[in-house]
Amino acid sequence: MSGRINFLSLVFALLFILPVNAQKINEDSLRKVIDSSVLDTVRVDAMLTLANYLLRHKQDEKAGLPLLNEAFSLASNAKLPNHLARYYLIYSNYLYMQNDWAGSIENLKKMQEVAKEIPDAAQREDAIMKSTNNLAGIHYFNGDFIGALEYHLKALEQVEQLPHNADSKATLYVNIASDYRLLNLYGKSYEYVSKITPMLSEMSDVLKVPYFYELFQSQINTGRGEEAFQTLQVIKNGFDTFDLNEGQMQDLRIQFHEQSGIYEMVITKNYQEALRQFELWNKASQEANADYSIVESSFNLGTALDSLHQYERAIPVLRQAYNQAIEFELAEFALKSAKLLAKIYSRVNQDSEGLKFATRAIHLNDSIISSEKLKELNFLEAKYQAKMKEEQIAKLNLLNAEKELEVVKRNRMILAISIGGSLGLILLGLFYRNAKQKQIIAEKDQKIQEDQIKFLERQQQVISLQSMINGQETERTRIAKDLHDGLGGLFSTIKMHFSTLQHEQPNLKTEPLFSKSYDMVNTASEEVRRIAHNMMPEVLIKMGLVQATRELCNSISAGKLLQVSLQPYGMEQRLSPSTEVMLFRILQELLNNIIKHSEATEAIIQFNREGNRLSVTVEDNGRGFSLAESDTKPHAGLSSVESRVNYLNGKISIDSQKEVGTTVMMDFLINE
Amino acid sequence: MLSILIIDDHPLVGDGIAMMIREVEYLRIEGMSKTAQEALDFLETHHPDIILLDISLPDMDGLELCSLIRKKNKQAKIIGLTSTNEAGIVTQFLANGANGYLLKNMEREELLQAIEEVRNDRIFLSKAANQKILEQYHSLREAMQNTPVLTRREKEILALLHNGYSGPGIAEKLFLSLHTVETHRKNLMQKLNANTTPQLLKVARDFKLV
Repeated sequence: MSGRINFLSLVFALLFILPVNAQKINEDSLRKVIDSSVLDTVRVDAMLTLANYLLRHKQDEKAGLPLLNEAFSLASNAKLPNHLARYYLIYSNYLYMQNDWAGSIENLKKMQEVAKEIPDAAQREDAIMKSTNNLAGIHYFNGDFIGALEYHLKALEQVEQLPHNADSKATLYVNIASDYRLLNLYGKSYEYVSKITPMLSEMSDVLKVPYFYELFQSQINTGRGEEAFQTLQVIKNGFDTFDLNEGQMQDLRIQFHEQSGIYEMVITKNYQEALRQFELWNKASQEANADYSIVESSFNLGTALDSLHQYERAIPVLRQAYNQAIEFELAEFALKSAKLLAKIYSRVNQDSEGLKFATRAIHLNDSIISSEKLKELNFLEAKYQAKMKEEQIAKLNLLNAEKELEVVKRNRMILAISIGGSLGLILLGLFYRNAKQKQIIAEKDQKIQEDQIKFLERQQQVISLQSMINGQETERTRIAKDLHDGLGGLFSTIKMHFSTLQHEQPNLKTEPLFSKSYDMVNTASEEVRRIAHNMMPEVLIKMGLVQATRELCNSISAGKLLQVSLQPYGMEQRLSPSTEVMLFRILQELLNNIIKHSEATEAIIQFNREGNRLSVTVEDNGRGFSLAESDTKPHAGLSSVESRVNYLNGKISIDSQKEVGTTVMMDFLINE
Repeated sequence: MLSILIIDDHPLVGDGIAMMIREVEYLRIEGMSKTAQEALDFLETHHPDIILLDISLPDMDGLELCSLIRKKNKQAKIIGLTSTNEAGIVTQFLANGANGYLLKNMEREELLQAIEEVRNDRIFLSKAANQKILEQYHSLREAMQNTPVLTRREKEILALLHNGYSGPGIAEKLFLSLHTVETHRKNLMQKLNANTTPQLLKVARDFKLV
């Protein structure tokens, strides 16, 4: 029972965001308004209301969709964000009814975008909240209750920023309670639905229907029998006191009998009374032509009869429930009915019938699972498509923005030159300069935007780098250790053996094959040491950055092509291991670049640490490069240095002069 | 007769060493320990003349174990035995009381030579380690010169400061950001041990840097 989707709350969620009282609309008067009004806002308003009415209540697509489109173009031309938001909402709801999830999501996302432009703060937040709530609804309906919950909670946050509106809040609380119930988190469900209770007097009666539904469910699910009983009494009183239309009243009656029956079944175990309530539920469902309810109540009748051991009565009821479930394609109830039938048949010793239904149950179970998977898959596909659309739109927007910028620039030039022409050469010069300045400003604006994008990209990069680099360094340490201890030890031992062999068999010295093998083992062992050292110098871990850097400098200087000197100031205390490793990698990379590209003969590495300020300077006397040049030919080495500096939240400045040298300066804030 | 303790978590290495000295009559392997704890326990009851000690042990840093052993035992000659050849590690071994340093991919003769040297109270370093120590010495001597070595940018900035330029002026002249110039200036002050710009210029004149 607890697994049932709360259709009431879902339908309500949709109703809630639709224009008020759509059912009571007078078509003719709306048409008159559309034909006669001169005000765009009034016309669009009427068109949207009518289109929604046609689509939703008369299922008249032929009339509704063109009207909706017309409203859209009017609203776009007149730049009415509020109406555009409503358009997207209505269209999204229409697509929702067509099970076009991707389309529905896409339109809700568009609604969120356009809602941002609504000038009135309250209306703006309201539209954003509605779109979020409906996004949740789509997830909910597709069985993604976690996704639904996320969106519902987000919408709740938005609603809490709005002026107090009991109905909006209550809607979200009901929806959240429903999400939690379907996630089997009944305590949470109870918590949220209870939040509505103090607002009850402010709420519209329509909303009370789903509210009491969730309230009762959460009470039953958390074993609060007493409270559940009281809830039933309030629902019963609602027949006389709630202001509901006929359909809504029918819903309330269905709900009341259903829940009364459940109460008797679960709490009082008075199966006779449960049976009576389920019969009333079944009758009310048939009057309302509510397929789902008819099948569900029939099945529940069967369970009550089963509990009363009235098997002969139960069998026809359940067979009917089974047939109806098959007819209405409600596999869930077909399965439940088949299972129960199998059980009852075997109890009354009609084994062949029992076997028949047991087999059906197994088949149904398989097909339910596969259709659930299919549904899940379709929804995933829909989400993916919506995402793709978003990306395409973002790309297009970027292209448009670029084009617009070009046009603006060109127009400015044309304007400047034409005015300049009439005013003479001096003025022309002046205006040209003005235009040039404006252009510079425009370029600067663009630059700022680019910087922002870069900043965001940087952030992204930092996050992914952090995890990557951490993993990388751990891995390197491990491999270096393995190389040293494993392969290195092995090679050393082989060499020891050769050395001993050579001593004990002196004539081997004249054997070329032996000498060659001996040399090769020696080389291999050196090589392993070199690789392990580059991967993670032991001295870096044990003695710290300065000593490791000193040895790096020394070994490069030993090669005679480049002399690297080290100048450490204020580096008496060690930094955190991860910072040290990171800085060491930066220096390795920079020195590598100097050796490979700069043709420098001298380089300096300098550390300056004072308090938590650390600056690292790497300077060479190489041929330098112009930064513009490096734009076209990206320096792979430098970009990885930059990433690492970013990782340490540092700043890097590279200044290079042709034929003079390059100075790279990085500064960091060390907090340890 | 000299007794030897080998401390290395890699069993092959111990075997290799044992094999190298099997024909040397005055040498005898007294024990092999795979962990620092095993070694310390062993040393409670034994008194080897020579200890060959690896740097990476599963339970303790070899450098640390070196000073622990040295604290308790002043007699034994400790020889660091590792596969890494880094000056910092070598000098730290010696500072922690070791008498010698060998690389694992040594020749038989080198091992015997090392043992011979340390038993005669001399320090022995393998050839490659010697080379590293020498490099280290050169670079430290250079670093200990009295006159600080300035980078090119620092020299330029110092000269401009000397000529009365302000931070922003220097930034404009050298096409650097003010932030970069300021960092260079702070670095200069730290290097020349000055707290203010006038002080900085005075020290720079004393050192004849401007």
